[in-house]
Amino acid sequence: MSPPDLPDLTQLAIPGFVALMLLELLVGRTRSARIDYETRDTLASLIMGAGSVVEGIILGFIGYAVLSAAHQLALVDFGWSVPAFALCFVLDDLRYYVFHRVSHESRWFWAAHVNHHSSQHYNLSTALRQSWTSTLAGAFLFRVPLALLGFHPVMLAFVSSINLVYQFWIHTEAIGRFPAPFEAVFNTPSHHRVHHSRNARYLDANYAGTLIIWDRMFGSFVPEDPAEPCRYGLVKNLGTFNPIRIALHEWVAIARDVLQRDLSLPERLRYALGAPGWSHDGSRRTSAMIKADWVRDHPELAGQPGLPSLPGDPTSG
Amino acid sequence: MLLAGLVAGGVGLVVALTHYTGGSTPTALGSTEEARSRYLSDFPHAAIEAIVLTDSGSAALLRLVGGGLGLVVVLGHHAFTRQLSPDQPRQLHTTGNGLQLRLVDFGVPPLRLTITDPDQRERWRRWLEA
Repeated sequence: MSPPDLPDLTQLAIPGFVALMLLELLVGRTRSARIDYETRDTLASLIMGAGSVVEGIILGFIGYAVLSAAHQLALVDFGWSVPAFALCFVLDDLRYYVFHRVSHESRWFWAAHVNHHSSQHYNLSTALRQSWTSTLAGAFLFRVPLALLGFHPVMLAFVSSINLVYQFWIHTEAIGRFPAPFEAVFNTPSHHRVHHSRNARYLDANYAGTLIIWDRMFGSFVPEDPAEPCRYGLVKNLGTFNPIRIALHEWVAIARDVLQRDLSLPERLRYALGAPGWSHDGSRRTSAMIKADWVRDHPELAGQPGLPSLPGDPTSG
Repeated sequence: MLLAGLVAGGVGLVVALTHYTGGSTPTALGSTEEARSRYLSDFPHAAIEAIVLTDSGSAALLRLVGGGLGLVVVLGHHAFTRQLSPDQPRQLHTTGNGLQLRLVDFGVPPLRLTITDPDQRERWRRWLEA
């Protein structure tokens, strides 16, 4: 069966994105000093967003071709019913969780994703600071299992766009917390503020797209603690608003590291594929090391959500 | 075409309103103590020996116990920091009213530092070239 004519949700949402950013800017200027918009930061984020759309137009065919080929091999065809869309959405949200987690745990994918975390602000414009290199990094490969399972690439693109549009509104400090049942199931501004923070306890947490249940299931959920305000950005923040530097800086850093002299092949591979912050001489810190350092300095916090137990603690398992 | 118009119009509107409501107001390091505090928030174990600022407080150079240097540079409403080890390559040039510092770091473009006081400029240079 040929795919139905589905709307382009991202394109339809653009006027809403603009209206909500203007509203948030107004609230920030009149009611809350914490909501801060800065001209060059905002411009950089919006150029990144526009560039990401262009990247999709230019290179989107690569992912579509691979997924179409995979779909040809599918043993089942889920068709285009509403339950098929619903199932596809939930499984794609799980796919997003896995992809997003890998994007933080492997430097190769982190290089494509880091730009989204590169602003020290957290507002709706940050949501649009999207990658220019995700296709080249191979992000579409994470959708192959769903195509092989029997979901059409057009359906996969459609449910992904719902996920993307959903994630826009959670990039804000204008909203506190929702009632507990909603916070238990859905990704919310509170959960996603944690994800964008560089505080040791908040690193590598809350990877969810739409449903926070995946983080709760797989042990990566960390609640926002009012006693520890979020500090946004990167462990090693950028010194630029230049979109090209923002988009490519980690790729350049990988190239420099991989091409160092006197490294073994496994070391070169680990610089490209290992955890961000890994180094052959131990001169840099991974997230796990930063958390361990933090606990050494603040032993009273050991074992709290997002932080390891003290070494030698019998409960550290 | 419609998509391009929507994107261009939206970007223009949001950026213009951000600018005209104070989004381009520069910030600065008000004192060496503020520079110290910013640096220690990223490098809590750093032992800082001395600090110098640029004229406008746009950046600070910190001399660390043991020979390394620290850098704090204002970026919009925030700042970024770097630890500069003695063996880390960097290029320093004199400009009309200060110095230009280039690090081997694609995430940091060449930094133009305005330091009009000759003694202060000499101190920056001495520390960076040590």
